[in-house]
Amino acid sequence: MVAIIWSLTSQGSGITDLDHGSLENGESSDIANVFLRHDGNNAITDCSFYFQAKTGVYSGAFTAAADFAEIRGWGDASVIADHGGVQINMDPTNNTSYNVSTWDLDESTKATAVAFTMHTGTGDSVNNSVLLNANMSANMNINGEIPVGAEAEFMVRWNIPSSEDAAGARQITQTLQFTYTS
Amino acid sequence: MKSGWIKKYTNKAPLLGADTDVYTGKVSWSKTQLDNMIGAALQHKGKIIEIAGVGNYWQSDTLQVEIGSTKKSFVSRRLKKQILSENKFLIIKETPNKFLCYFANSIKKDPNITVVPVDEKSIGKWFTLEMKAGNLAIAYFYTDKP
Repeated sequence: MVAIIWSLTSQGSGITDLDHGSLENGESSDIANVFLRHDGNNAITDCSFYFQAKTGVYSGAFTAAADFAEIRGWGDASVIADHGGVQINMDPTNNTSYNVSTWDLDESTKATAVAFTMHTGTGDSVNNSVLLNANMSANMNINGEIPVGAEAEFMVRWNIPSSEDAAGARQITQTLQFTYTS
Repeated sequence: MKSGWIKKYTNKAPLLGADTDVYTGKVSWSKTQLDNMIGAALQHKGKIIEIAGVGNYWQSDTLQVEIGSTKKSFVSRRLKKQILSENKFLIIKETPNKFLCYFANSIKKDPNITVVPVDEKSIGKWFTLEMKAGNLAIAYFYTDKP
């Protein structure tokens, strides 16, 4: 079966998780650039991202289900003090540094053509998965399709709401869904 | 074969694509004979979906993988057949473990089958038979591309 490799450097070794560190209220994490490639003989198509409650062993401070509901709620919030969560940017060539304006996401704009904050209805389930944007790779010509030998790149970061009052580690799982023919 | 696909030909013996062989690269749907096909079947968790009749066929799987993981899981599995002008009626024959579809240009009454007229607009499109990997639910629809 086709292998999918997630790495933090181009053509790098596969990662087993992604730790965004410790953050204070109102802080944002450093941006993590993540690379995605496959070893298939054909393109992988209909590629999309979605988030789900942490699978496997949970090592956060609460529960996997509680973390997911809370993080999605941060994304849902329309009041700036309550808004935050996990964000994906699929346009790495035009957004190389942390700057809210370049990501064009806030408590009012929760998704654009190339980026989104995970919230209810967007990236929060397999049915609401977000199609990968072709800007993720110079070799991607079709949204959602990673050709043979191509490497896609995206950025991910976290924003902690300034109103958050419960300290503790949160965990969530990001998932890639795709279609493949051998 | 516990799970995988079968290609059926007019001019040679069926080709088995067991998942275990596909995973190790021993067999490939796209790199084996695609012409002179007369049918295709796919088995997953003991249930079989099958399309029969002359035409062009394709097979694909939707999978998912979590960041940092190498383990993939099936979401759904599909067989596809390109609709020909003579495919006037879709015939469905369903048993507990098998969902068979074939096409005919005329029909006759049979309580054991379901008949669905094929829209002329579907000619050239791809009839898609899909089985969900989890609950083995089956659906069919038409797509523009394989």
